[in-house]
Amino acid sequence: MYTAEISRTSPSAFLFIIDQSGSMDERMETEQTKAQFVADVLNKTLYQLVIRCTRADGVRNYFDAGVIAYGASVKSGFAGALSGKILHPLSDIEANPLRIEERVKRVPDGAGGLVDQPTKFPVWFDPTSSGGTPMTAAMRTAAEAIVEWCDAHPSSYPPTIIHVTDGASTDGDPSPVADALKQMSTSDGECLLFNLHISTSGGQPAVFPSSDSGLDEYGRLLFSMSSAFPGHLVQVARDKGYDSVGSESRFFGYKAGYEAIVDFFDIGTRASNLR
Amino acid sequence: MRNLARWTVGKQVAEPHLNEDAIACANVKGVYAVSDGASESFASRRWARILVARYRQRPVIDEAWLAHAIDTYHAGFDRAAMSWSAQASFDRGSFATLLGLRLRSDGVSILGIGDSLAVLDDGNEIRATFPYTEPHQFRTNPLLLSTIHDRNAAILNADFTTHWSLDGTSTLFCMTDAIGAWLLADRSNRIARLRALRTGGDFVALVEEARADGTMRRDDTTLLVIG
Repeated sequence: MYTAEISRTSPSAFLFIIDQSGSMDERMETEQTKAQFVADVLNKTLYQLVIRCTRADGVRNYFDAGVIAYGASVKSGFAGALSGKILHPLSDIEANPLRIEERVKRVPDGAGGLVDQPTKFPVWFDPTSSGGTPMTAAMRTAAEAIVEWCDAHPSSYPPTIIHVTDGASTDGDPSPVADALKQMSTSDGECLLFNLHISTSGGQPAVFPSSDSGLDEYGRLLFSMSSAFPGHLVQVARDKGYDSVGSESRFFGYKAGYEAIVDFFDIGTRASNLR
Repeated sequence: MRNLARWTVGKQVAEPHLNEDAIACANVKGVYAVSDGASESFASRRWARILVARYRQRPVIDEAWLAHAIDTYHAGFDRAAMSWSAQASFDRGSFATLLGLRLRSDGVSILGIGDSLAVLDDGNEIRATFPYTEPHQFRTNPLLLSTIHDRNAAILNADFTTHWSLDGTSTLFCMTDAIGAWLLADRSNRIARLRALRTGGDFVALVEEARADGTMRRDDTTLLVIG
């Protein structure tokens, strides 16, 4: 399981489900709101995915990717040409950011000094925070996109779904839909559902726990909705300092701060077997 | 000694233009090089080809050698005209191994940067391998030569060379990592398979068979034989 080689003829998929409810306007330690911080991390994650798959001859479609945003409504998190459906080949995502910002970064000049270098940074996803937390409807939208994707890619490395939220569902229990989502599969394994709860209210965070002991009721719900840690990502997590991660751990974070959010996206979007 | 065979097969046999391995041979000078361009980098096929050509031309690596190779690589691109993604990927650099052999009167000097493998065979058994000796070593992330100047400091400051004595029975095999890991996992049986290869068709058949039975990773796969 989870050993299929990822190629242009057999791509994998990443689907991000992002909470945009009203409470996402609370400020984090970074002074950004939760919505701003998550939008930044998501844009950087998409940027990294695209450039990992870019060669001199163009963008190779090793992955499809999509964003579901939920708050006042449930919809694609992409705008413009990408808004019509949920999952898109990476080359379409590369070609259709909302805008491209010009930035300057300092880079080594090869002779011991530094030089300013103009750099383009694309933005696909702007922060929004309004409305309730229709998590169940968002999971259902994800399930519809994923079942269609798995039907079209029956032997691919299965899709990875990364869900970020800061609150409890306001439209009922999402766990039956989440369970169905986790059971969708290709011949290489079941879909991976990673849940990240972010918080500004303090309390003991739990990142990649192996049991739900010590978690409150809502934490236990998200724990049960989360997939077990896939074996090939265990070492990636340990290399980033999560020494206790093992095959019993869940890909789940609770009351996570900004560092854990960045690591969660980074580890969750590592895929081996690119060719 | 001279180059007896040089064979390569891409990840997909039908797409040889995507093969990111490179070979260069100079029988008169006794200089041979194999490079494996890293799949997840911008133009590793071009970088691997520059490295082996440069090694064949001047088989001593130092800062000036690398600077010349990097300048040659950059001369092929116009960063300002690139799309945002090409620019960002170009800025991350390209990476490749370099396995270089220089025949000398007292044997062979070997440079081994990365996970391409040199094997000394006496016709009965493997006498030595370099830089790796065990199959598990292929699972680590090796240092690779980069098109980003500052990424090469650790390589320039370390010794990646060895020397082997040769005799009349010696054959040298140079190979990229997929077939290297395959060989070291069952060295006595599999070196016999390599000794028996006669044609490029034999080589492709061996690689396809090993990929199909799961003993060899699907990757660009290259073998150079010197005897």
